[in-house]
Amino acid sequence: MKEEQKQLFHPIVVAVTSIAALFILALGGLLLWNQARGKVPMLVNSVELKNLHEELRHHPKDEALKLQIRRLDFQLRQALFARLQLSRNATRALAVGVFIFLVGAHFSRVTRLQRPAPRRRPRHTHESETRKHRIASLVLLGVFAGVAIAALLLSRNPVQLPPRGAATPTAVAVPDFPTPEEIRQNWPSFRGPNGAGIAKTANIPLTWDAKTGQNIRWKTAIPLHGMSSPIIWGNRVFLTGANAQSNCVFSFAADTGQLLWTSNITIPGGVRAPAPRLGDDTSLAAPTPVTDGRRIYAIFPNGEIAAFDFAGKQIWARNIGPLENSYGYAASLAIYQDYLFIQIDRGAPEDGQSKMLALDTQTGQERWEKPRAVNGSWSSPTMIEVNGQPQLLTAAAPLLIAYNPLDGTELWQLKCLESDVAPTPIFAAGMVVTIAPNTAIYGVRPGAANFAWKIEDGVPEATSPISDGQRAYIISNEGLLNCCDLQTGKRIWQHEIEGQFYASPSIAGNALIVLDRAGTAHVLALGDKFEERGQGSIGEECGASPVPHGNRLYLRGKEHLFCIEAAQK
Amino acid sequence: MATALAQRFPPPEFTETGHQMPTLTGFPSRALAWDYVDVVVLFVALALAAWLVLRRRSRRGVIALSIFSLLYFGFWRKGCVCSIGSMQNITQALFDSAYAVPLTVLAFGVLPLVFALFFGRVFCAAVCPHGAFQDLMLLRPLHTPTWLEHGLRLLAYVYLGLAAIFAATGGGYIICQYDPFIALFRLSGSLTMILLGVGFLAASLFIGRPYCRFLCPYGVLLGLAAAVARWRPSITPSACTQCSRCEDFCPFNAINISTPKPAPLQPPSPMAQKIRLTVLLLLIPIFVGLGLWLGDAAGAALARKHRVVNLAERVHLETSGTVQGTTEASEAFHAAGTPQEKLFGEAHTLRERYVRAGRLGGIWVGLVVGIKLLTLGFRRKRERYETDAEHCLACARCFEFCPQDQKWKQILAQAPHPVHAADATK
Amino acid sequence: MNRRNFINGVARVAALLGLGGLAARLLQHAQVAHTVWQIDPWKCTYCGKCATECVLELSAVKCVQFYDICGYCDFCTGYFEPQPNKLSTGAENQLCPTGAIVRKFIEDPYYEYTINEPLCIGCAKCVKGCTLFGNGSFHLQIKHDRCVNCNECSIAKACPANAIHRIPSNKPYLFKTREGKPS
Repeated sequence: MKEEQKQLFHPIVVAVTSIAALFILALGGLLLWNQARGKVPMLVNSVELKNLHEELRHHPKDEALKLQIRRLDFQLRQALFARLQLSRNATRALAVGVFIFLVGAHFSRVTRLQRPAPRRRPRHTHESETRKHRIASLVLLGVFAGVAIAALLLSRNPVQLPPRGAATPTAVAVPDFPTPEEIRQNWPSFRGPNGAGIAKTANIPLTWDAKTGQNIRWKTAIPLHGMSSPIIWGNRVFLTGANAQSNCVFSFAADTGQLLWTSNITIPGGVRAPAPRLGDDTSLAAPTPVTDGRRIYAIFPNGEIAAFDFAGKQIWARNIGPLENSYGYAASLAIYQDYLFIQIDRGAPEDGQSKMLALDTQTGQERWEKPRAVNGSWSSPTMIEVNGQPQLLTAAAPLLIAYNPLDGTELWQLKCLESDVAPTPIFAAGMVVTIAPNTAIYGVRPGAANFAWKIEDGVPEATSPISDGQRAYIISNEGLLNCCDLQTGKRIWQHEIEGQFYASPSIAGNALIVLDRAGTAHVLALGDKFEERGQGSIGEECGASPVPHGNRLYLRGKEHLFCIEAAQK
Repeated sequence: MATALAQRFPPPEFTETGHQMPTLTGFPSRALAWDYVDVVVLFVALALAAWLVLRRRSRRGVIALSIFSLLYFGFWRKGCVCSIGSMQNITQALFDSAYAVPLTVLAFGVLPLVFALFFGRVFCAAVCPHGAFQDLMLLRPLHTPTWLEHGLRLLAYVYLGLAAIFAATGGGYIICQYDPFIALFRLSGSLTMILLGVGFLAASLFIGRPYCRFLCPYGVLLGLAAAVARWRPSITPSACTQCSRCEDFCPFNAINISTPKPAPLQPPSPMAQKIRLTVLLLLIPIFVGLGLWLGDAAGAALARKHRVVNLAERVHLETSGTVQGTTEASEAFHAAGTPQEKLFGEAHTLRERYVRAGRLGGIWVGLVVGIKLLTLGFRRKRERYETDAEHCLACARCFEFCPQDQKWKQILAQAPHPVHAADATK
Repeated sequence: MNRRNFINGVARVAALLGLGGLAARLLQHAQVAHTVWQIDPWKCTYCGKCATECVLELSAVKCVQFYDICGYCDFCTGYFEPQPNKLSTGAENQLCPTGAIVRKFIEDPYYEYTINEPLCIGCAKCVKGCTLFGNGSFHLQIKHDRCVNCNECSIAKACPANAIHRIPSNKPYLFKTREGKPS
């Protein structure tokens, strides 16, 4: 290149290169700033949008708010994709800028009039080279020392893992479950031991009144509504309650009624499943929890099930949903050894949505699952013992089915039920009593090809039967109380009690307790003739089954939990 | 066994409309043909680079090929897979029988090494997009002092050791994770990676190829291969005039100078030489032992980079109550319901592997330090300026600045039957 | 030939033999030559990292609707917020932050849900909703027309469930099936 040309081109090249450099700095800075604002999902984290959503939850009918959300959502989406496009284009422009800069920089050297003189420096001598190598050796050692220090710093504070083969506290291999004797002494599930509703040794007062406080040991407000019944283990009473935001288990001191703890289910890493929309007749906490004296297990209609220890700490939780059926999920849990049973009956038999599920009580992991060709049901699974063999008894139209609790194999079944089954069957003295609502009451011998007897009048819709071993007592929702021979179904007596009955009756010692919806309990004598021995009232709406235990009777009203015990004289 | 909760809602039957479920579309597989094209391009580029450097002695040619490589391997093929990273795949395949290294990746790992054994680091010269990027950015080289050069070069050996440890034990590909240029090639990446890339590029404006010289682990292997190469770039095709221009203009400190004569009054005594040799030889096992000890100590800490060990430690800390709360990984572990003993057992096995690997890595670093000290203690006698075969990146700059080469090229241009440089040097 | 050249020659031959041996050994069990990265939908915990960890600005991970196991629910828990204001397509009810799911009425009570892929950012919100409370027909997959097949997938590195692995490139997707999770 000639001198004149160089003179002409050099300033131009330098100018272009400088402009390119400025362009790179500006655009590069802008792009970096853009990057620093975070990657794509900025929209996902819009606080403003989140707040608006929250507001909408409080004002669900606010159309202007909806419009505002839609508008903001659209703006954010547009901004997101515009930003993507912009950064794509800007990066390309930046690449072009860098290219121009490099070419320009090289050209500016070519067009420079004076070539740079080589750097002047002292000549190499033997001594300078030896010294240089000596310093180099020292620097090398220095770098090595740096690496060594880094290695030693890294190896500080090692985490000691448990030695190989050592059992860890959370994974105890030995199953731990209560003895039958322990179960008999408590009221661990819906309707107590074996779901029979009987506390043989209980001795409760014959009269009480919440208004005057007569024989009311204590009364505690229940924080959240629920239709489930209380359960008892030792000196603890457990209840469940729920609303649209939370599913809770409450623990009360049996002696004082003090609320000891409230635990909310949190599904690890999960969002809360939406609570189903239900009518006023039921609640978001209809299923009764169970306990094995080690943990309390509770299930809720949005599919959440969890285990808590006696201190209220959640041990495991998962969502096995959905459970939705036409009136809301109501089946209580049942337990056998370290198996936890969930009866999920939904839809029609051909829908294939109904199933029986068994979980490991220690981990919540699935043990077995069996599909059930049944309609939706609201009755609870019950653990019974037939000739020494444990059986899991379930009822849903059209089948009464008993399973082996350990592996879910079907032991026997009988097709006798119809419509929406809500009463839970019982087993006493070799006879299962089961109810097809508004149709018939059946006596069934386990494994028999047909029912032993059938009664067609006074058939309840929701309440479960109860038996003292000789007689079966069945109270219909309208208050018609039937007493019949357990083995033959022959009527012994019948009596009509005023009131509406949804709570399943219980037996305390030699007293039958029937509880009407208004909260009035009738204490009746067991036997071949009707005899009312007393009455008690808690003065508030009541749907939960009465729980007799020791000298006490626990009743769950709509607002309060009551403990009834004869006052000390 | 099929999991139970797979289908909560039965698939619908569209009785009214007879609607047909759409079939899945739009699932293209990866275009593999490009992977083979890459290998062919790599081979051709290596051959071309060798020819340009050793036969044509053309800096311009090297620049042109560099631009091509940067555009093709870097921006077009997004820099993946590259030869530097492929070493990790090869290492993993050697130690993990479940992993089979793809043929193309193997070719990427081996071809540049084979070329280096014959022609020196021609891969670095103009084929590697990382090198090309830095080389093209080099506008105003500053002189790096020799002592710093020697010290910093050790980092690449350490990096190589670490990369090999992690690749062999399943701890991940750290070379890929901390590759400074890949984010630039893809024109996207995390902010840290982009900043790292921009930082290296900015440094490359003044410092010749900082990544290649001080960090590139593959460069270590290429250097070792190039040290015994059959042909190597010779600065001048004819007699060296000791003008030292090549040394002044080499931005990579890769010129071995002609040995200056010692002052005549103080000839080095042979006895002192012998003692020094013995001491330096004895230092090698000492450094190896030191490295072994350090590697052993750091092994368990390095194991933390492995997800299983990391998870096991976290889970243990959570269950023992030392830390509160859970991480996403520990939650996923709890949800999967795997027994903790199994996790801890795996973690123990892995830790042992890491400690073994750490010891080997430590021995490697110790050995390198020992040998480097030995070579720094003695110098070979040289009559002329030569390329340092191990560290010469074959960029062909020195040719451009060698007055002898320029003269020779002028002669060549006028000669009716051109002779080649390699012949002329004989 | 001087001594130095001889030593170099020996070293060179040794290195070549070593490289050859290495290549031969690796080629022996290189049956599956090519692999791609893919998400195992059964392991995925829908943590949302796929949207943020991919080296691409817009992640190569996209949600896939596997119609075969879709329940065609009216109240789709992948489409709607946990407590939707109304089961309508209004933005206030949608879970997807980019509105990438199309809801189409088929017949009472069934709705079809389709992913509009260019809008999907792979955030897995719908996958979470659908998997936790529905059939799990929405799941994430790495789309190979977008994925640059990094030597080490940066999402795989960040995945808390270790759900991303290399799989043979001739079967580059992992779909859920009606039969459920293979054991």
